[in-house]
Amino acid sequence: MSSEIPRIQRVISILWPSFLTSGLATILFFTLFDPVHLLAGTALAELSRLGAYSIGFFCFWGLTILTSGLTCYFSQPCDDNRRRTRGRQDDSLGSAL
Amino acid sequence: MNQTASTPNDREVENALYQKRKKIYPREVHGLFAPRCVLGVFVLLGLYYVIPWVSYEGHQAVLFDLPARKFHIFGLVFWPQDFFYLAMLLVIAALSLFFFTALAGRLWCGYACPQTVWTEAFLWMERKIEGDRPRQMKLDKAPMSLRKFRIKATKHAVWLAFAGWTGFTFVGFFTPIRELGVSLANLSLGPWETFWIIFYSFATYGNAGWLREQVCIYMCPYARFQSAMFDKDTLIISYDEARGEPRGSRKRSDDRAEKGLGDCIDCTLCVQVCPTGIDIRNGLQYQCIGCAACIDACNDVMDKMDYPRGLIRYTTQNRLEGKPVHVLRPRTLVYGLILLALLGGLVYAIATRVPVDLNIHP
Amino acid sequence: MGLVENIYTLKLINMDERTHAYRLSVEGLEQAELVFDRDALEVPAGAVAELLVQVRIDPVHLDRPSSEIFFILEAQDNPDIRIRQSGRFLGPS
Repeated sequence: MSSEIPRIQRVISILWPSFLTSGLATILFFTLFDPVHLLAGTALAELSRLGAYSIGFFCFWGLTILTSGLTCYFSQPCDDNRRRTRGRQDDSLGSAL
Repeated sequence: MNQTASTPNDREVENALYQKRKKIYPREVHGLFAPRCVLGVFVLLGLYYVIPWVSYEGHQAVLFDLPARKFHIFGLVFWPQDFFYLAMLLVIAALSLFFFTALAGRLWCGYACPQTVWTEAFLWMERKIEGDRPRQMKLDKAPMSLRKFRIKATKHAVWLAFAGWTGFTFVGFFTPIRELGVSLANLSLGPWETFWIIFYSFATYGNAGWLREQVCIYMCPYARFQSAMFDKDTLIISYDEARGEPRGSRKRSDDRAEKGLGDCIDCTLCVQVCPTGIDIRNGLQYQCIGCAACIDACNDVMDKMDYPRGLIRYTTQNRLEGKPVHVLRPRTLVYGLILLALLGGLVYAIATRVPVDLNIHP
Repeated sequence: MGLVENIYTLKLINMDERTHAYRLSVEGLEQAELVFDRDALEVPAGAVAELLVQVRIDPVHLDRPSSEIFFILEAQDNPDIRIRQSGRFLGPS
């Protein structure tokens, strides 16, 4: 059997820390850099500041979800993958979630 | 098919997205701490919903103006260059959390945390619409009917409306709220404002209406590490086992010494009022948020039984073991002094800062 | 003979809520002359002003290739609003 913690806890442990870190990253990044200056002359020049902050936040969140997801995947025990029972049509990545 | 024999229960837990948890129906409680809790809820919620509407010298008094990249707090203006003050403020907030935790445990959780405050508000609305604890449980067990649908729909509509106002207010801290209100009335809100209002409304609705104590148990980082800040002189909520055991029901007129019983009559009211569903008689547990509802419930029962109050009470591990109590001890003194120093430093830095900046290139 | 000149781009941010007129001066190098393209330096509240300034000096007064100079910005209506930033003046190498 894979991890003992409930599935909701596994989902939360990927989505929630990544959300927090992304928020922090957004604050730090956009305090330093004004998005209007960054985007001037690019295709997104007309984007409002609020829009830039929002898109920036979701970009960061996407990246941090990737990190948390990989961490969860790597914290699965290695040898279990081979002995995993065929209860569902899953690979080990599916079970990590 | 599974090659290992797994019980139906295991399969249930693995396949369900949600932990198979029983919904917790915290019973309404009155007493010494409950009014303080309610007062806290009113004050904090009041501040939250009222402050964005307060004006100061022609502009919004508290406005973290993200589009204009300036934070206004009454007469003070903070620029991106002033980020240092925000960092200092965060350090001070963290330190004061450690300080109060070392002193009296999860005061934050039980009285001030937004999750607790909003959940209390949502529970109150639920109680007003669905009725008290027995009626709620009965309604949930009943099959769907027109009446049940009507009640549930009303509750969710009220919850969503309140959550919507919460989301709107939240965005109103970050863009001027009066303009936001006008845009909303004219249905001319910008796309991003609309998005974030909806996002925070659903977050409020989801956290306070559905997840409730699950946020405290699974999501909160403070919940995980707060116990590391406890020591034997930290004020905790505790059941006086020596006094209460052996527990058992009895008539009011019975002499408990004669019957060989402790003060606990096993009414389980302490469990019924608990918002996280624990039994404090098993000792302080991770899920306990320190709301003191069990203290109030038990004291009520003690009064009715003519026993002295305090079978469940705030106490310290040292006091329970009969050792002397130290409120002023190295841990609290050090936290307190550093806190004062940083706070003083921050106030001084803000008071003496010069409202001009000069950058030289090269 | 010829004066040595360094050009600086100064960015000034008036973080106050009111318009101020500022006075700019330079310190740290005797005989240095400050030239900039505006007479009055009036900056509205919250605004950023970018100005090009030149600092000129007769090279005989320079005793090393690189010297530290200070720009001092002071609000004319409020001497408490005063800031002093350092820069480098590079002489002929």
